[in-house]
Amino acid sequence: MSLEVCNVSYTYHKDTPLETKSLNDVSFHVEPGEWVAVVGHTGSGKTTLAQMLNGLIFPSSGEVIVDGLKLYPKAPHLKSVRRKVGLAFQYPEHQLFAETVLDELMFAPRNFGMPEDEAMAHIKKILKAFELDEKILLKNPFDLSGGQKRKVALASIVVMKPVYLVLDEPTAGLDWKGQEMLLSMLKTFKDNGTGIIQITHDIEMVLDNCDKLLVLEDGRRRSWGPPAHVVEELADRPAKGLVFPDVLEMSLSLRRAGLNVSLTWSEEKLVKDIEKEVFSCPS
Amino acid sequence: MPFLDHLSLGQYVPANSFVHSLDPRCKVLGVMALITSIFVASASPWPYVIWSAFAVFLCALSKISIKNVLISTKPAIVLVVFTVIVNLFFAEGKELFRISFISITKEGLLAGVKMGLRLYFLILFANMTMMTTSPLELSDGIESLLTPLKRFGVPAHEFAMMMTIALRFIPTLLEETDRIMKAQLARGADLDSGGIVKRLKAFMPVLVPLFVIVFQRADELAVAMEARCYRGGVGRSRMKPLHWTAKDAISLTMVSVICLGGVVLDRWMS
Repeated sequence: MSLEVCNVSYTYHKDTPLETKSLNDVSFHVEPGEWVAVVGHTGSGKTTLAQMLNGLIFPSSGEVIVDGLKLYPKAPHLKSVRRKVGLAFQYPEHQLFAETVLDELMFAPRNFGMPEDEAMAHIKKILKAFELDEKILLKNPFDLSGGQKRKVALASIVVMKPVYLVLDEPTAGLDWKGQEMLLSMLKTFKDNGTGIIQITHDIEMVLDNCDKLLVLEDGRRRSWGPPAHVVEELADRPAKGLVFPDVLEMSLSLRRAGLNVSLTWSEEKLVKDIEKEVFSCPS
Repeated sequence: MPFLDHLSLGQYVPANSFVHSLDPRCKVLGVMALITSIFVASASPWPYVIWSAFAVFLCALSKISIKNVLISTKPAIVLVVFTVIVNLFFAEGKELFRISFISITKEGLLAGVKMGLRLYFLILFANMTMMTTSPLELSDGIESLLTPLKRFGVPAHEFAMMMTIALRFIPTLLEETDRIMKAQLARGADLDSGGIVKRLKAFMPVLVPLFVIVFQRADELAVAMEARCYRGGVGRSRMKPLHWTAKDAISLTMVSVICLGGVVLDRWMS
């Protein structure tokens, strides 16, 4: 069981004057219960990659395989794959359309033929996880606050019980508290066995949470692996548009200055390393 | 489902070509002359040969391949086919064959083909104008052409501004539509199968958010324009004033000659 992306490339407007190569020979994989973050600058191909994982677009070359099922246009298993791989676009609240929150949350379960009572029971659980009151079910989604709309939109995707959850910049437009809440919720989903693929341009946000990091640069895979490995790989030549956390930048500067500190983004660890270095110095 | 993965009708294609460099007024007047001649001359098939050759010549001059131009006119084919069918069924004359109670006549067939071709060429040349002229240039050109009508109370600037905004937002709205469609497909929506009623119903989850976004954008744009002190065309200067040069005059003359040639050839051959 895994979601595998094998050497995929994608070209928009092929054979026209507007031809643009968005992805070029990108590979990675995600297991259920694993958190993978895809980071890169604007135009690095992150969103294109996200859409491929759900079978909304198909690679010009290469393969996307979800739990052994290869994705291709009009594949008979496309709908079941879309249920397995939940995809939340950036600003998912823009997709709200129903008259009540209940109808909005029931949209996907009805499309996928989930029994109503099973869906209802799941909706109640999801509402609790998203810290939403059940009274909200009868409200019009357009009357909700921005934060509530975001929660409802995300809940309408999670309600499909996806095995993998792809989130394109899920924290865009949220305040610090909202971001914290969302990340902790994603942690819960991960602990429950959902594979998380978080797309972001902010490496600082994901370093602590993700198991693996995929760094894209101009549509190519620049680095892939556990965060520590990726950071080590990018230390000498950072990827385009990627801003390291201040602590990581400082540890890099100290290392360049000759101090024996580890390459870390943890404040405590860096302080400990500096203390160790200072006290080990012959006076 | 790559909804936007081809050139759409009238999509501007930036390029460094002779046609791109022409004054937008020259292109607007040229396409108007072509459309007029297409509707005046259609008795014989020869003018169509001239216009086809001219379209190929324009493609070469504008550095846009014929294939791309033809692909971008694909959405208009439905309208052309509909026009042909309407003319086919409702013209009286010598019966060629009959399907149940519908009689297909020779006159109907000829009228259908003629009307379809006229409409297709009209769309083709208008499309080529839009492919080689940016929306901003196009509305500047139209505003300039309408300026003499201002003294008769025609709101030339307002009309051009409306056109600019409409043209500017077409690609944005197409992108939004694409995004919303994909978001609903990802939630299991079935937009491609079933009859017309089922498909229309299935499109509700796309249309509702789209309308919400359209009104939001319109509101935001109005506020942004007011915040930048927009108060109509009075006293407004231009960043890129239009310049009519010799090559525009020569090009327009050549197009006029071709149009006239088409009309004369049509009259002569028929």
